[in-house]
Amino acid sequence: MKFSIQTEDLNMLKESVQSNCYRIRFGPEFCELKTPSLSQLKEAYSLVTSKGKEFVYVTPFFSDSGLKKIREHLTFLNEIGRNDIVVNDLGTLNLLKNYPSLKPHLGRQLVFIPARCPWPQITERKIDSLAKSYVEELFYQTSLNYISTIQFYKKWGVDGIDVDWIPKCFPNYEFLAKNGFKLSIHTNLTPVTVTRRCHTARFSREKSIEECSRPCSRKAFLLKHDLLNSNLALYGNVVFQVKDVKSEEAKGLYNMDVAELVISMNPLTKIQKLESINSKIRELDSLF
Amino acid sequence: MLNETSIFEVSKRESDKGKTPKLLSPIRSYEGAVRVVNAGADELYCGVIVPEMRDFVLYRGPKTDIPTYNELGQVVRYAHDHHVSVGVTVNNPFMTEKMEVPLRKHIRACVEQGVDAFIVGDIGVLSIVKDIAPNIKTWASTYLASTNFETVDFLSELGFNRVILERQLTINEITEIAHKSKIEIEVFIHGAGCSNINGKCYLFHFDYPPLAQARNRIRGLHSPCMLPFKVCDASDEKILDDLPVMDAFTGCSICKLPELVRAGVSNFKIVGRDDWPIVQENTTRMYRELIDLIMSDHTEAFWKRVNELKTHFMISPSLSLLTLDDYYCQQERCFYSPLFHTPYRIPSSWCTWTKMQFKKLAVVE
Repeated sequence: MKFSIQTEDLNMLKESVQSNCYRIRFGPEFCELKTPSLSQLKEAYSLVTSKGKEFVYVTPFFSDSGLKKIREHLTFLNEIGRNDIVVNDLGTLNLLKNYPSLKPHLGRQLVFIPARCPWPQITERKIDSLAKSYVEELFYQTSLNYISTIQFYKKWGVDGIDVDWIPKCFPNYEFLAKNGFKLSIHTNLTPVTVTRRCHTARFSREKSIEECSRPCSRKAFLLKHDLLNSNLALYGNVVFQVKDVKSEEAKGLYNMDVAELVISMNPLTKIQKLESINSKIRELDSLF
Repeated sequence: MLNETSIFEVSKRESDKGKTPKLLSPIRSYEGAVRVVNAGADELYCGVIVPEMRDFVLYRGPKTDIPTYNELGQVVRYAHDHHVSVGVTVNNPFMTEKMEVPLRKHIRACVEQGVDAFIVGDIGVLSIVKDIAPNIKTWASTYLASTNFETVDFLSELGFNRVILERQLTINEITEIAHKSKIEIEVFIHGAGCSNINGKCYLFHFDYPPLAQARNRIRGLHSPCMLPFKVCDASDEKILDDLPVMDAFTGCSICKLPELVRAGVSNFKIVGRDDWPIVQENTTRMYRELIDLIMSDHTEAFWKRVNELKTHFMISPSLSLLTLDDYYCQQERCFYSPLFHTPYRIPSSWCTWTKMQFKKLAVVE
């Protein structure tokens, strides 16, 4: 199994380039305010490639002002050769038609998976068994388990997709791999909901988007509720479900063509230093 | 800085260049259709139960939808007799091979009833709609998370006639998109103010037993993002606060209507398919009145009415249980309030009562 490290922080990237991962995904997946400057992007690219690792640029969803900013990033990456870009916004995908060297890779926000819901209420309802089995079947599908959708994204040059570690979805991921998509499976953190009205910024009494001091770079929060039996956590503008990766679950991937498992570096995963990266890679590798 | 009157004047001047924005109202029944048409809606939208998929429910229950194609037909005929168009939501946020047969049947049945448009939230669903009814109008749902012009342009190239913008855009951002767009731009003006991005949210609302229990006890609670959470530091799990950190709310935009007209938006959407028909009617009537006041240049009357509405209850069937949610205006909690610096505004009495109810539920559990 191959492992990639995802980070939006240049200092963490400096730790990750020393690790045993084969490629590094740099950039914010969810918050456009964390988009790096062009010089940071160039530095990140140089650090990663100088260590012989592959570089992937990760982009979030954008407002128009955010999209203006990344045009120069795309120009830079397009000029230096073929690079994967993780896109989480149809507007970014639209822009990429102007950058022929860049290969779009669909991010998690463009792949709808009902089973990201932290409570499987839909499958627990008291309905007749036939209906229940149909509902369960739909619940674990993805928005790409449909040939027309696959063809559409192929036409747009998409060759890979990001999904989450949801074992009951693995058979449906296999369908995607068989249809030629490179599968990147994120471990430990499943995004449950995303906002622009950033819950962390608001909780930290930030005044405005322009003046946000990025409290998320320092803190993450657990969200607990007596009635909800879910491990929810708030990191920046995203609520995640935190999950352990279990060995019996990994069996579902044994015969599948998975391109990589993605390990995120942030205060929530508590993976922020080289030692913790290598330890995580060893832990996951032992499952296969 | 512009005062209220001058904003209004600019709004009127700019809007002269275009048309009056159309008012789009939600319904879930023939009765609702009659009420909102008579209250001044220009367009209606509704869902219709897909018989084979009635048990697969993500966000809203089947009571939100029109129950039969016959009733849809009645709605369409009544609306068309009054020059009002009807859009049907087929906005599943995803499409799979397993859903194709029922959805094709559903779309054909809606087309047979004469609907004018489909609200579509997925590329796969769009391919089916275009296959069955290539000339029917398609409106891009918020499930497609349109937050920038490039996305609108992309959806326009795919054949959408209208894009419903994501709720969390500023009026300046909306203006920029609307001015560049070749197709219609629709924005939300009233109803469920999701605190998260619709198409990227998996906090499904429907039928999780603890949530259903909480909903029965706590009026005004309709989604998990309204729940109070214990917010703990992830490093040491120390509880820092106990509050509805996601803080969804029912929003309005009465004060912002002149700016939205000026922005060049073509359609104003009221949310509330699950509301009672009388609420759908009253909300429609209120916005109809305000839009007409703007377009007929009755500045003073417009602001007088807005100020009245700021302390005005909605007429609700359960008048005895009015909560903050029943106001039109909730001060700083409108769709177009600042993105960050909005205070958590749960009144202390509501909060205490809510906590009491949760304690009771926990005991029952």
